[in-house]
Amino acid sequence: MKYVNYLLLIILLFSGLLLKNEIHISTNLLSLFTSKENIQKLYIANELGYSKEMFIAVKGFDKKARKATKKIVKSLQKLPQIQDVYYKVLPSQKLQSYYKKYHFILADFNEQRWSEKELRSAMKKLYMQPNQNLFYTPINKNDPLDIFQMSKSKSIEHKGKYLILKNYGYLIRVKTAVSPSQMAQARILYKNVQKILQVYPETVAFAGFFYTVENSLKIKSDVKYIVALSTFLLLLIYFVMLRDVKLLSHTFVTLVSSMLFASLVCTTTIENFGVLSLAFGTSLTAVSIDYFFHYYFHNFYQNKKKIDKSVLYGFVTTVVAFGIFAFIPVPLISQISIFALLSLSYAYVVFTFIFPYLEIRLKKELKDVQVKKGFLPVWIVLLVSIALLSYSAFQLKFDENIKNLDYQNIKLQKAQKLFSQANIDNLKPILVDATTQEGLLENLHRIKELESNSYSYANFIPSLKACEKSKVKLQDYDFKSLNKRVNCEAQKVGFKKDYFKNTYLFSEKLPSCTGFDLGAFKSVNLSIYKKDKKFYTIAMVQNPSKLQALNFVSSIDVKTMFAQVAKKMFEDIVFFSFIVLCVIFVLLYFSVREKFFFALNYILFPLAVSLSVVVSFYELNIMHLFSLIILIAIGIDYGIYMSITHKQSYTIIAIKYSLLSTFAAFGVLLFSSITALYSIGLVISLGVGSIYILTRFMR
Amino acid sequence: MPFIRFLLVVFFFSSGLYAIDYHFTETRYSDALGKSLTLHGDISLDEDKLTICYDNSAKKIEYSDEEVQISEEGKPINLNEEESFKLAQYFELVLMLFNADTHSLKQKFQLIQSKDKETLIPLTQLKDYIKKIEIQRKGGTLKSLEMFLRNDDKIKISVEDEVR
Repeated sequence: MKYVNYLLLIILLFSGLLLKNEIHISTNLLSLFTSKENIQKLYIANELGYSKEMFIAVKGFDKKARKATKKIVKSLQKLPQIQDVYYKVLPSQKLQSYYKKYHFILADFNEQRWSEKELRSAMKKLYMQPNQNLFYTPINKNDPLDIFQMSKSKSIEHKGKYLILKNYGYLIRVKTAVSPSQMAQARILYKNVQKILQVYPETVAFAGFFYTVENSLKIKSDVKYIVALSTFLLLLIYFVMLRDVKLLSHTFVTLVSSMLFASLVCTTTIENFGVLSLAFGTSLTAVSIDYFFHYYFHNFYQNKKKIDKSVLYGFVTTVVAFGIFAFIPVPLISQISIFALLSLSYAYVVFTFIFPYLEIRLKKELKDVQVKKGFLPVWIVLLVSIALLSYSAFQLKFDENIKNLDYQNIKLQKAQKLFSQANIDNLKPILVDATTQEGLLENLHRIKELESNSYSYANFIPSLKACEKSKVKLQDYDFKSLNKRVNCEAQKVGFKKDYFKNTYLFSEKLPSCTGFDLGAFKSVNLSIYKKDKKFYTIAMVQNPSKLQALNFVSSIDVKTMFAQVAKKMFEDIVFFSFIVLCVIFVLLYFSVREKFFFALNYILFPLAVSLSVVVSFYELNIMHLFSLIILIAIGIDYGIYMSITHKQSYTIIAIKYSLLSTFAAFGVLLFSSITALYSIGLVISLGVGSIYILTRFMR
Repeated sequence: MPFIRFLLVVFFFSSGLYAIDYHFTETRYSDALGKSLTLHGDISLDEDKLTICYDNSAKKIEYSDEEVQISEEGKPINLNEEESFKLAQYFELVLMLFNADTHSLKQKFQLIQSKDKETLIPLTQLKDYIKKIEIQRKGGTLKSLEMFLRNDDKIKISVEDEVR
């Protein structure tokens, strides 16, 4: 019987092996923060190359910088994950062919009727041109009268034939095959690019996947450091303070078993059980340690009692709280709650019914302890709590930007800013769709009508209406007669006979206004994607939110997508927390009766202190909220223990050790440089501190 | 004597470090007009720099650092972007041919060597403008280059002896 604990662990491990094929853990973190529809849109945007681009700027505009640029381009082109490298302004062959084919339709057409005098003067001027120009200038056989003028398109920042980043240096735009969510690929490409660039210290590079690689490295090192700190603290508690290895072994085995139990049940029965839920649920299990410490310090395992009322009430209220949260529509929180339910129940059962058989004895030296009496009356603490909570309610601001939870990579953010500053119009991407390519172009032109500064295929390809109008204009003009007159004057002036034989006789063979080769525009960052009988492309606009009203426009701004979900999450969490608190108050009353307010302080005071500190210095994020829920769970237990204990001194010691363990598990996150983890650490540390104050000072 | 010889050798070596100046004749044949225009001038060439002054013109054309600058009596003349762009490409090509930069030439042209001349057929987008280029060299230096353009025009640059 002494080894029942170990036996249970072995059974669980064995079950795990048997159920191996039934276990499914979802690593799709994106699905937690946005709807299926939005994920689809992001996937399409990804396929269109959005977020897969890399930018490199070489400092300076001199010959050395140009040489470096060319060398970098050459090295980059050798890498397999690089699709295209652009560093020159020259339009691609395909694009040049497009302009040539549609020249007469795209150009502004001067419809003037040429008088004899005007025509002669123009042809004479043309004849004199070679003699007068310092340089060789060819005679335009196709349009000698210059009646077709291509309007100047907005030029990209360039110096000579090279792309530049204004005020910095030469720019290289790279199309990669790696999106920020492809961890393994990102690492390989990142390493290769850094190897190329390290020879040129004055270059700045940026790509979406840089965040993925750099931040994950930082998170890994952060986690290692924190786990080490946590382990050290736990060892300190068990080896130095309790000096009982057997205890460490048993509690450790129990906690691991409870985590394993909950994991097995959740991953085999819940669809899409996420890895994040697994991680947080596991850490929540550490809360159950206070059941153990309470039993241990009250020598529960050596006396004949079967049930300790205070632990039972504490357990029931915690279970009810998580039980209610299990119904919240936020999948992350409901999964964590179910996990917590299972693991805490297992831990309770083992600590209460199995541990008595494990021959655990309370060390004598720890029994005789004096505890000072507190002096703060309950009602003062209650008043302070309510005051702090009211203050918090006024200062409360939610941080809906999920990006803020990540490690703040200042260096990369600076690089990103450098490149985005070049985007002077500050255009943002939107996804445009249609069932046909012609329909897509029409939609893009509608967007252009609403926003003349937008950038899309509509900048290069005319709308069907405009194109047909051009064609009609050209077909209506009497080019045949113009051709005759031009040839006549040309001969008079001295041009070679029949040199202008075919001039202006193109109107019979004008190209079609449909069926444009949309693939020809890749060099100007425009592409098209087909999926499920629909065509998609990206347009850059100034005001995405305004255009979203159009039914063929979808936002792919991750920030707004997440913000929408985050907002709903906050609302759900606040609503459910409110229900949970009400239910807890009722349960609490029936557990502790006249000590209701005393126990209530153990919930309200830590909540109030943490919340007021957080809202004074930060915006409340989802991790803060999650941690506040944990504080409620802990507070309930301690409140009940302190209210219905017979031996207050023992209870206080038990609570002290529980607080230390909780700090070792969560509080150490305070030393993390990752906002999400730091938030948890901050709230829990403040909570732990406040509960300690209550045990010490509240009467 | 050996010392003077040494000096001469140094002199000849170092003169290779500075730009080389030539008198040149440029003949532009216009297919539209059916006749040629002949110009004379001086050209100064360096590894990546070129300066041209035509006789009977106060204008000076400088190509350096992949950019073209025209000045008249010291005052710069503004060119429109498109002209400037095209000129830069033209002079880049001329310089490449003069310097016999075989590496860059091989990337852009197919080289056909015959007894008395080299023919270059463009491989890149240049082929939309140029049919072929014929070069004659004597003792390693370029004597003449002739560009045959798509529109049947021709540009021929013949170089006289080096100006010392």
